[in-house]
Amino acid sequence: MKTYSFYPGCFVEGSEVEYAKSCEKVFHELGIEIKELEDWNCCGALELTTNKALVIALSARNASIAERMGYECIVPCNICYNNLKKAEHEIKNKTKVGEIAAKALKKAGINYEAKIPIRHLLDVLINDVGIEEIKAHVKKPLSGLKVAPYYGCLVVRPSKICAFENPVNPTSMDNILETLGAEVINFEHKVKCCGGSTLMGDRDTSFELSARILGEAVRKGADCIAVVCPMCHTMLDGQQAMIENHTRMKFGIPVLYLTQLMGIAMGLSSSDVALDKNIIPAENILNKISKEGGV
Amino acid sequence: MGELDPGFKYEVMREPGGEQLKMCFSCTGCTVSCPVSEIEPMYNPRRYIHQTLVGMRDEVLGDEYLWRCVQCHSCYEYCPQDVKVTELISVLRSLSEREAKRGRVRIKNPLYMFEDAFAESVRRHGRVHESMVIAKHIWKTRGLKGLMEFMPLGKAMFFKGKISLFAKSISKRDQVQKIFDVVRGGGH
Repeated sequence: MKTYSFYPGCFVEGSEVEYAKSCEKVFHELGIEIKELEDWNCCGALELTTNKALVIALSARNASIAERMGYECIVPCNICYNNLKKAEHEIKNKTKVGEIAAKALKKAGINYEAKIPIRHLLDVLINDVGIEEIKAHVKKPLSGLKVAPYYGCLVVRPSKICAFENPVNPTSMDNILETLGAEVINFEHKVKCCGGSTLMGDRDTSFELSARILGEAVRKGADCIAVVCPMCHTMLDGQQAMIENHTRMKFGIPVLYLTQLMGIAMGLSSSDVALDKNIIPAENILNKISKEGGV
Repeated sequence: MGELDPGFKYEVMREPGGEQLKMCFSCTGCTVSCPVSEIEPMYNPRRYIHQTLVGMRDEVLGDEYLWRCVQCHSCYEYCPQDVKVTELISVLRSLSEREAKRGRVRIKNPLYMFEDAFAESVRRHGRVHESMVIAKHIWKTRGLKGLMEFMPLGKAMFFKGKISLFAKSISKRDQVQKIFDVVRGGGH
Protein backbone atom coordinates (compact mmCIF):
# COMPACT_ATOMS: atom_id res chain seq x y z
CA MET A 1 0.00 0.00 0.00
CA LYS A 2 1.46 3.33 -1.05
CA THR A 3 1.29 6.14 1.49
CA TYR A 4 1.07 9.89 0.91
CA SER A 5 0.77 12.84 3.23
CA PHE A 6 -2.31 14.98 2.68
CA TYR A 7 -2.73 18.73 3.05
CA PRO A 8 -6.48 19.51 3.01
CA GLY A 9 -6.25 23.28 3.49
CA CYS A 10 -8.77 25.46 5.33
CA PHE A 11 -11.41 25.36 2.61
CA VAL A 12 -11.62 21.58 2.24
CA GLU A 13 -11.41 21.05 5.97
CA GLY A 14 -13.97 23.76 6.71
CA SER A 15 -16.86 23.98 4.28
CA GLU A 16 -16.07 21.62 1.40
CA VAL A 17 -16.65 18.48 3.43
CA GLU A 18 -17.86 16.51 0.40
CA TYR A 19 -14.41 16.83 -1.13
CA ALA A 20 -12.63 15.73 2.04
CA LYS A 21 -14.89 12.72 2.48
CA SER A 22 -14.88 11.58 -1.15
CA CYS A 23 -11.07 11.88 -1.31
CA GLU A 24 -10.71 9.74 1.75
CA LYS A 25 -13.09 7.05 0.48
CA VAL A 26 -11.73 6.96 -3.07
CA PHE A 27 -8.12 6.69 -1.96
CA HIS A 28 -9.09 3.94 0.42
CA GLU A 29 -10.75 2.04 -2.46
CA LEU A 30 -7.64 2.51 -4.56
CA GLY A 31 -5.52 1.03 -1.79
CA ILE A 32 -3.73 4.26 -1.02
CA GLU A 33 -3.14 5.45 2.49
CA ILE A 34 -3.29 9.19 3.14
CA LYS A 35 -2.03 10.79 6.32
CA GLU A 36 -3.10 14.32 7.09
CA LEU A 37 -0.23 16.74 7.78
CA GLU A 38 0.18 17.23 11.50
CA ASP A 39 -0.69 20.71 12.75
CA TRP A 40 -0.85 22.29 9.29
CA ASN A 41 -1.54 26.00 8.82
CA CYS A 42 -3.24 28.17 6.20
CA CYS A 43 -1.07 28.57 3.08
CA GLY A 44 -2.08 32.22 2.68
CA ALA A 45 -4.50 31.41 -0.14
CA LEU A 46 -4.98 34.28 -2.59
CA GLU A 47 -5.62 36.79 0.15
CA LEU A 48 -2.09 37.74 1.11
CA THR A 49 -1.18 38.92 -2.38
CA THR A 50 0.53 42.02 -1.16
CA ASN A 51 3.20 40.01 0.65
CA LYS A 52 4.58 37.23 -1.49
CA ALA A 53 7.29 36.24 0.96
CA LEU A 54 4.65 35.63 3.60
CA VAL A 55 2.71 33.25 1.34
CA ILE A 56 5.92 31.41 0.47
CA ALA A 57 6.94 31.05 4.12
CA LEU A 58 3.49 29.97 5.34
CA SER A 59 3.21 27.42 2.52
CA ALA A 60 6.73 26.15 3.13
CA ARG A 61 5.88 25.41 6.76
CA ASN A 62 3.29 22.91 5.49
CA ALA A 63 5.71 21.40 2.99
CA SER A 64 8.25 21.05 5.81
CA ILE A 65 5.75 18.96 7.78
CA ALA A 66 5.32 16.64 4.78
CA GLU A 67 9.10 16.46 4.51
CA ARG A 68 9.40 15.48 8.15
CA MET A 69 6.70 12.84 7.77
CA GLY A 70 8.61 11.53 4.76
CA TYR A 71 5.69 11.14 2.35
CA GLU A 72 4.98 12.94 -0.92
CA CYS A 73 2.25 15.48 -0.27
CA ILE A 74 -1.14 15.36 -2.00
CA VAL A 75 -2.92 18.73 -2.24
CA PRO A 76 -6.58 18.67 -3.38
CA CYS A 77 -6.95 22.47 -3.73
CA ASN A 78 -5.66 24.42 -6.74
CA ILE A 79 -4.77 27.45 -4.65
CA CYS A 80 -2.93 25.59 -1.90
CA TYR A 81 -1.20 23.48 -4.55
CA ASN A 82 -0.04 26.57 -6.41
CA ASN A 83 1.25 28.18 -3.24
CA LEU A 84 3.10 25.10 -2.04
CA LYS A 85 4.64 24.57 -5.48
CA LYS A 86 5.78 28.19 -5.56
CA ALA A 87 7.29 27.80 -2.09
CA GLU A 88 9.16 24.71 -3.23
CA HIS A 89 10.35 26.52 -6.37
CA GLU A 90 11.44 29.79 -4.74
CA ILE A 91 13.22 28.17 -1.81
CA LYS A 92 14.93 25.49 -3.88
CA ASN A 93 16.21 28.08 -6.35
CA LYS A 94 17.22 30.47 -3.58
CA THR A 95 15.47 33.43 -5.21
CA LYS A 96 15.30 36.72 -3.34
CA VAL A 97 11.81 36.03 -2.04
CA GLY A 98 12.82 32.45 -1.27
CA GLU A 99 15.69 33.70 0.88
CA ILE A 100 13.43 36.01 2.89
CA ALA A 101 11.02 33.13 3.47
CA ALA A 102 13.86 30.76 4.37
CA LYS A 103 15.11 33.24 6.96
CA ALA A 104 11.65 33.52 8.51
CA LEU A 105 11.36 29.72 8.64
CA LYS A 106 14.75 29.44 10.29
CA LYS A 107 13.86 32.01 12.92
CA ALA A 108 10.64 30.11 13.61
CA GLY A 109 12.71 26.97 14.15
CA ILE A 110 11.56 25.20 10.97
CA ASN A 111 13.85 23.17 8.79
CA TYR A 112 12.78 22.91 5.14
CA GLU A 113 14.96 21.72 2.26
CA ALA A 114 12.38 21.60 -0.56
CA LYS A 115 13.04 17.91 -1.09
CA ILE A 116 9.58 16.35 -0.81
CA PRO A 117 7.45 16.43 -3.99
CA ILE A 118 4.24 18.49 -3.80
CA ARG A 119 1.53 16.83 -5.90
CA HIS A 120 -1.92 17.90 -6.96
CA LEU A 121 -4.58 15.24 -6.46
CA LEU A 122 -5.10 15.10 -10.22
CA ASP A 123 -1.38 14.57 -10.80
CA VAL A 124 -1.34 11.59 -8.42
CA LEU A 125 -4.48 10.09 -9.96
CA ILE A 126 -3.27 10.27 -13.54
CA ASN A 127 0.46 9.65 -13.09
CA ASP A 128 0.79 7.41 -10.03
CA VAL A 129 -2.50 5.51 -9.89
CA GLY A 130 -2.98 5.56 -13.65
CA ILE A 131 -5.87 4.95 -16.01
CA GLU A 132 -5.56 1.15 -15.98
CA GLU A 133 -5.81 0.94 -12.21
CA ILE A 134 -8.79 3.32 -12.13
CA LYS A 135 -10.48 1.26 -14.84
CA ALA A 136 -10.03 -1.88 -12.75
CA HIS A 137 -12.01 -0.28 -9.95
CA VAL A 138 -15.01 0.84 -12.02
CA LYS A 139 -18.06 -1.15 -10.98
CA LYS A 140 -20.89 1.13 -12.09
CA PRO A 141 -19.84 3.01 -15.23
CA LEU A 142 -21.24 6.50 -15.60
CA SER A 143 -22.77 5.58 -18.98
CA GLY A 144 -24.95 8.25 -20.48
CA LEU A 145 -23.76 10.95 -18.09
CA LYS A 146 -22.52 14.06 -19.88
CA VAL A 147 -19.80 15.78 -17.89
CA ALA A 148 -18.04 19.12 -18.42
CA PRO A 149 -14.48 18.84 -17.11
CA TYR A 150 -13.46 22.10 -15.43
CA TYR A 151 -9.84 22.32 -14.25
CA GLY A 152 -9.57 25.96 -13.18
CA CYS A 153 -6.45 28.12 -13.25
CA LEU A 154 -3.89 27.35 -10.66
CA VAL A 155 -3.57 23.64 -11.20
CA VAL A 156 -2.04 24.26 -14.64
CA ARG A 157 -0.61 27.81 -14.43
CA PRO A 158 2.14 28.90 -14.32
CA SER A 159 3.19 25.78 -16.20
CA LYS A 160 6.87 26.28 -15.40
CA ILE A 161 6.04 25.61 -11.77
CA CYS A 162 2.88 23.48 -11.91
CA ALA A 163 4.34 21.34 -14.62
CA PHE A 164 2.36 18.09 -14.76
CA GLU A 165 -0.27 19.19 -17.27
CA ASN A 166 -0.71 21.02 -20.55
CA PRO A 167 -1.60 24.61 -19.53
CA VAL A 168 -3.80 25.26 -22.56
CA ASN A 169 -5.61 21.99 -23.01
CA PRO A 170 -5.17 19.65 -20.06
CA THR A 171 -6.61 16.16 -20.56
CA SER A 172 -6.05 14.22 -17.34
CA MET A 173 -9.54 14.81 -15.97
CA ASP A 174 -11.09 14.15 -19.40
CA ASN A 175 -9.30 10.80 -19.50
CA ILE A 176 -10.31 9.82 -15.99
CA LEU A 177 -13.95 10.73 -16.66
CA GLU A 178 -13.94 8.71 -19.89
CA THR A 179 -12.49 5.78 -18.00
CA LEU A 180 -15.37 6.08 -15.57
CA GLY A 181 -17.69 5.65 -18.54
CA ALA A 182 -18.92 9.23 -18.75
CA GLU A 183 -19.42 11.19 -21.93
CA VAL A 184 -16.96 14.08 -21.72
CA ILE A 185 -17.95 17.25 -23.53
CA ASN A 186 -15.40 19.39 -25.35
CA PHE A 187 -15.21 22.19 -22.80
CA GLU A 188 -13.68 25.45 -23.95
CA HIS A 189 -13.74 27.02 -20.51
CA LYS A 190 -11.78 24.22 -18.91
CA VAL A 191 -8.88 26.44 -17.81
CA LYS A 192 -10.68 29.80 -17.65
CA CYS A 193 -10.98 31.58 -14.34
CA CYS A 194 -14.03 31.27 -12.04
CA GLY A 195 -13.23 34.65 -10.48
CA GLY A 196 -13.28 33.20 -6.99
CA SER A 197 -10.43 35.28 -5.65
CA THR A 198 -12.29 38.52 -6.16
CA LEU A 199 -15.67 37.44 -4.78
CA MET A 200 -15.12 39.57 -1.69
CA GLY A 201 -13.90 42.58 -3.64
CA ASP A 202 -15.65 42.83 -6.94
CA ARG A 203 -18.61 40.49 -7.07
CA ASP A 204 -19.78 41.56 -10.52
CA THR A 205 -16.57 40.38 -12.15
CA SER A 206 -16.46 37.07 -10.34
CA PHE A 207 -20.11 36.36 -11.11
CA GLU A 208 -19.63 37.23 -14.76
CA LEU A 209 -16.61 34.91 -15.05
CA SER A 210 -18.42 32.02 -13.37
CA ALA A 211 -21.56 32.63 -15.44
CA ARG A 212 -19.55 32.04 -18.62
CA ILE A 213 -18.36 28.66 -17.35
CA LEU A 214 -21.82 27.59 -16.19
CA GLY A 215 -23.31 28.93 -19.41
CA GLU A 216 -21.11 26.86 -21.69
CA ALA A 217 -21.77 23.69 -19.69
CA VAL A 218 -25.54 24.20 -19.87
CA ARG A 219 -25.47 25.18 -23.54
CA LYS A 220 -23.58 22.01 -24.42
CA GLY A 221 -26.07 19.86 -22.57
CA ALA A 222 -23.84 18.72 -19.71
CA ASP A 223 -25.56 16.93 -16.83
CA CYS A 224 -22.94 18.15 -14.40
CA ILE A 225 -19.58 19.89 -14.10
CA ALA A 226 -16.58 18.11 -12.58
CA VAL A 227 -14.05 20.11 -10.54
CA VAL A 228 -10.86 19.55 -8.57
CA CYS A 229 -10.70 22.72 -6.48
CA PRO A 230 -12.79 23.94 -3.53
CA MET A 231 -12.68 27.56 -4.71
CA CYS A 232 -14.05 26.63 -8.15
CA HIS A 233 -16.66 24.50 -6.41
CA THR A 234 -17.75 27.28 -4.08
CA MET A 235 -18.21 29.63 -7.01
CA LEU A 236 -19.98 27.25 -9.38
CA ASP A 237 -22.02 25.29 -6.82
CA GLY A 238 -22.43 27.45 -3.69
CA GLN A 239 -22.79 30.78 -5.46
CA GLN A 240 -24.78 29.45 -8.43
CA ALA A 241 -28.16 30.67 -7.20
CA MET A 242 -26.76 34.13 -6.51
CA ILE A 243 -25.11 34.19 -9.92
CA GLU A 244 -28.49 33.32 -11.44
CA ASN A 245 -30.16 36.20 -9.59
CA HIS A 246 -27.41 38.57 -10.54
CA THR A 247 -27.16 37.72 -14.23
CA ARG A 248 -30.83 36.78 -14.74
CA MET A 249 -29.74 33.52 -16.31
CA LYS A 250 -30.87 30.04 -15.35
CA PHE A 251 -28.37 27.20 -14.92
CA GLY A 252 -29.42 24.68 -12.26
CA ILE A 253 -26.50 22.43 -13.04
CA PRO A 254 -24.93 20.21 -10.35
CA VAL A 255 -21.19 20.64 -9.78
CA LEU A 256 -19.40 17.59 -8.45
CA TYR A 257 -15.89 16.93 -7.33
CA LEU A 258 -14.04 14.47 -9.55
CA THR A 259 -13.61 12.27 -6.49
CA GLN A 260 -17.39 12.18 -5.97
CA LEU A 261 -17.89 10.97 -9.54
CA MET A 262 -15.08 8.44 -9.13
CA GLY A 263 -16.66 7.15 -5.94
CA ILE A 264 -20.03 6.67 -7.63
CA ALA A 265 -18.43 4.80 -10.52
CA MET A 266 -16.46 2.67 -8.09
CA GLY A 267 -19.72 1.56 -6.49
CA LEU A 268 -19.57 3.66 -3.34
CA SER A 269 -22.84 4.91 -1.86
CA SER A 270 -24.00 8.49 -2.27
CA SER A 271 -23.40 9.07 1.44
CA ASP A 272 -19.83 7.79 1.06
CA VAL A 273 -19.18 10.61 -1.39
CA ALA A 274 -21.38 13.05 0.59
CA LEU A 275 -23.63 13.89 -2.37
CA ASP A 276 -26.10 15.48 0.09
CA LYS A 277 -23.56 18.19 0.94
CA ASN A 278 -23.57 19.83 -2.49
CA ILE A 279 -25.63 23.01 -2.58
CA ILE A 280 -27.17 22.42 -6.03
CA PRO A 281 -28.91 19.05 -5.53
CA ALA A 282 -26.62 16.41 -6.99
CA GLU A 283 -28.50 13.19 -6.31
CA ASN A 284 -30.47 13.55 -9.57
CA ILE A 285 -27.44 12.73 -11.66
CA LEU A 286 -27.69 9.14 -10.41
CA ASN A 287 -30.92 8.81 -12.43
CA LYS A 288 -29.17 9.95 -15.57
CA ILE A 289 -26.67 7.13 -15.48
CA SER A 290 -28.09 4.51 -17.80
CA LYS A 291 -28.52 1.12 -16.24
CA GLU A 292 -27.60 -1.09 -19.21
CA GLY A 293 -23.95 -0.03 -18.90
CA GLY A 294 -23.80 -1.21 -15.30
CA VAL A 295 -22.37 -4.48 -14.09
CA MET B 1 -1.38 64.14 -14.38
CA GLY B 2 1.30 63.91 -11.69
CA GLU B 3 4.97 64.43 -12.29
CA LEU B 4 6.94 61.56 -13.76
CA ASP B 5 9.07 59.65 -11.29
CA PRO B 6 11.97 58.00 -13.13
CA GLY B 7 12.82 56.04 -9.97
CA PHE B 8 9.44 54.30 -9.88
CA LYS B 9 10.51 51.34 -12.02
CA TYR B 10 13.42 50.64 -9.66
CA GLU B 11 11.12 50.90 -6.67
CA VAL B 12 8.92 48.22 -8.26
CA MET B 13 11.87 46.04 -9.28
CA ARG B 14 13.20 45.98 -5.71
CA GLU B 15 10.04 44.23 -4.51
CA PRO B 16 9.72 40.41 -4.62
CA GLY B 17 7.83 39.65 -7.83
CA GLY B 18 8.69 42.93 -9.56
CA GLU B 19 12.24 42.02 -10.63
CA GLN B 20 11.43 41.19 -14.26
CA LEU B 21 9.64 44.45 -15.12
CA LYS B 22 12.18 45.71 -17.65
CA MET B 23 11.97 42.52 -19.71
CA CYS B 24 8.60 43.62 -21.13
CA PHE B 25 8.61 44.39 -24.87
CA SER B 26 4.96 45.44 -24.96
CA CYS B 27 3.54 42.56 -26.96
CA THR B 28 0.14 42.86 -25.17
CA GLY B 29 -0.09 39.10 -24.59
CA CYS B 30 -0.95 39.76 -20.94
CA THR B 31 -3.92 41.96 -21.73
CA VAL B 32 -5.19 39.83 -24.59
CA SER B 33 -5.21 36.72 -22.41
CA CYS B 34 -6.74 38.51 -19.40
CA PRO B 35 -10.34 37.51 -18.61
CA VAL B 36 -10.87 40.66 -16.56
CA SER B 37 -9.72 43.01 -19.34
CA GLU B 38 -12.28 41.32 -21.53
CA ILE B 39 -15.05 42.41 -19.14
CA GLU B 40 -13.55 45.67 -17.91
CA PRO B 41 -11.14 47.33 -20.36
CA MET B 42 -10.04 49.80 -17.68
CA TYR B 43 -8.10 46.94 -16.13
CA ASN B 44 -5.16 46.62 -18.50
CA PRO B 45 -1.96 44.91 -17.32
CA ARG B 46 0.12 46.03 -20.31
CA ARG B 47 -0.81 49.64 -19.64
CA TYR B 48 0.26 49.31 -15.99
CA ILE B 49 3.63 47.96 -17.09
CA HIS B 50 4.09 50.77 -19.59
CA GLN B 51 3.03 53.44 -17.10
CA THR B 52 5.40 51.98 -14.51
CA LEU B 53 8.30 52.02 -16.94
CA VAL B 54 7.79 55.68 -17.81
CA GLY B 55 7.37 56.64 -14.14
CA MET B 56 3.66 57.44 -13.82
CA ARG B 57 3.74 56.57 -10.12
CA ASP B 58 0.67 58.50 -8.95
CA GLU B 59 -1.52 57.25 -11.78
CA VAL B 60 -0.59 53.61 -11.26
CA LEU B 61 -0.71 53.49 -7.46
CA GLY B 62 -3.94 55.47 -7.36
CA ASP B 63 -5.66 53.24 -9.89
CA GLU B 64 -8.73 51.59 -8.45
CA TYR B 65 -8.80 48.93 -11.17
CA LEU B 66 -5.53 47.37 -9.93
CA TRP B 67 -7.68 45.50 -7.44
CA ARG B 68 -9.67 43.81 -10.18
CA CYS B 69 -6.97 41.21 -10.94
CA VAL B 70 -8.29 37.69 -10.21
CA GLN B 71 -4.83 36.09 -10.13
CA CYS B 72 -5.68 33.47 -12.71
CA HIS B 73 -2.08 33.64 -13.97
CA SER B 74 -3.07 33.78 -17.66
CA CYS B 75 -0.82 36.81 -18.18
CA TYR B 76 2.00 35.05 -16.33
CA GLU B 77 1.58 32.01 -18.58
CA TYR B 78 1.37 33.82 -21.89
CA CYS B 79 4.18 36.34 -21.32
CA PRO B 80 7.01 35.42 -23.72
CA GLN B 81 9.45 37.52 -21.66
CA ASP B 82 8.68 35.93 -18.30
CA VAL B 83 7.74 39.24 -16.69
CA LYS B 84 5.62 37.31 -14.14
CA VAL B 85 2.84 39.83 -14.68
CA THR B 86 0.49 38.44 -12.01
CA GLU B 87 3.16 38.96 -9.38
CA LEU B 88 3.97 42.38 -10.76
CA ILE B 89 0.35 43.42 -10.31
CA SER B 90 0.54 42.21 -6.70
CA VAL B 91 3.63 44.37 -6.18
CA LEU B 92 1.76 47.40 -7.51
CA ARG B 93 -1.10 46.57 -5.16
CA SER B 94 1.21 46.36 -2.18
CA LEU B 95 2.82 49.71 -3.03
CA SER B 96 -0.64 51.19 -3.46
CA GLU B 97 -1.64 49.78 -0.08
CA ARG B 98 1.40 51.43 1.52
CA GLU B 99 0.38 54.75 0.01
CA ALA B 100 -3.15 54.21 1.31
CA LYS B 101 -1.83 53.65 4.83
CA ARG B 102 -0.05 57.00 4.57
CA GLY B 103 -3.34 58.55 3.52
CA ARG B 104 -2.11 59.44 0.04
CA VAL B 105 -4.33 57.07 -1.92
CA ARG B 106 -7.87 55.96 -1.28
CA ILE B 107 -8.68 52.36 -2.18
CA LYS B 108 -12.38 51.81 -2.62
CA ASN B 109 -12.26 48.14 -3.57
CA PRO B 110 -13.11 46.21 -0.38
CA LEU B 111 -10.75 43.35 -1.28
CA TYR B 112 -8.00 45.25 0.44
CA MET B 113 -9.90 45.20 3.75
CA PHE B 114 -10.75 41.54 3.32
CA GLU B 115 -7.09 40.68 2.87
CA ASP B 116 -6.23 42.44 6.14
CA ALA B 117 -8.92 40.58 8.07
CA PHE B 118 -7.90 37.29 6.48
CA ALA B 119 -4.25 37.82 7.40
CA GLU B 120 -5.18 38.66 10.97
CA SER B 121 -7.22 35.47 11.30
CA VAL B 122 -4.32 33.37 10.00
CA ARG B 123 -1.82 35.14 12.24
CA ARG B 124 -3.98 34.59 15.29
CA HIS B 125 -5.12 30.99 14.73
CA GLY B 126 -2.68 29.58 12.20
CA ARG B 127 -5.70 28.88 9.98
CA VAL B 128 -8.37 31.13 8.61
CA HIS B 129 -11.72 31.10 10.36
CA GLU B 130 -13.42 31.38 6.99
CA SER B 131 -17.08 31.77 7.98
CA MET B 132 -16.40 34.49 10.54
CA VAL B 133 -14.03 36.49 8.33
CA ILE B 134 -16.50 36.35 5.43
CA ALA B 135 -19.58 37.21 7.52
CA LYS B 136 -17.81 40.17 9.14
CA HIS B 137 -16.61 41.39 5.76
CA ILE B 138 -20.08 41.24 4.22
CA TRP B 139 -21.49 43.10 7.22
CA LYS B 140 -18.77 45.77 7.03
CA THR B 141 -18.98 46.35 3.29
CA ARG B 142 -22.60 45.68 2.37
CA GLY B 143 -24.40 45.85 5.69
CA LEU B 144 -27.70 44.19 6.44
CA LYS B 145 -28.66 43.98 2.78
CA GLY B 146 -25.51 42.02 2.02
CA LEU B 147 -26.12 39.63 4.90
CA MET B 148 -29.75 39.13 3.89
CA GLU B 149 -28.65 38.28 0.36
CA PHE B 150 -26.24 35.74 1.78
CA MET B 151 -28.85 34.21 4.11
CA PRO B 152 -30.27 31.47 1.82
CA LEU B 153 -26.78 30.12 1.11
CA GLY B 154 -25.68 30.66 4.71
CA LYS B 155 -28.68 28.73 5.98
CA ALA B 156 -28.16 25.85 3.56
CA MET B 157 -24.50 25.68 4.49
CA PHE B 158 -25.27 25.75 8.18
CA PHE B 159 -27.73 22.85 7.97
CA LYS B 160 -25.30 20.85 5.86
CA GLY B 161 -22.67 21.28 8.55
CA LYS B 162 -20.47 23.46 6.37
CA ILE B 163 -20.07 26.36 8.75
CA SER B 164 -17.90 26.14 11.81
CA LEU B 165 -18.86 28.62 14.48
CA PHE B 166 -15.54 28.41 16.27
CA ALA B 167 -12.05 28.99 14.99
CA LYS B 168 -9.76 25.98 14.87
CA SER B 169 -6.37 26.99 16.13
CA ILE B 170 -3.22 25.02 15.47
CA SER B 171 -0.95 24.16 18.36
CA LYS B 172 2.24 25.77 17.05
CA ARG B 173 0.72 29.21 16.51
CA ASP B 174 3.95 30.73 17.76
CA GLN B 175 5.73 29.47 14.60
CA VAL B 176 3.15 31.09 12.36
CA GLN B 177 3.30 34.34 14.29
CA LYS B 178 7.09 34.32 14.09
CA ILE B 179 6.85 33.91 10.31
CA PHE B 180 4.51 36.91 10.11
CA ASP B 181 6.77 39.05 12.30
CA VAL B 182 9.98 38.21 10.48
CA VAL B 183 8.58 38.62 6.96
CA ARG B 184 6.73 41.82 7.78
CA GLY B 185 9.88 43.16 9.41
CA GLY B 186 11.65 42.73 6.06
CA GLY B 187 13.46 39.52 7.06
CA HIS B 188 14.97 40.79 10.30
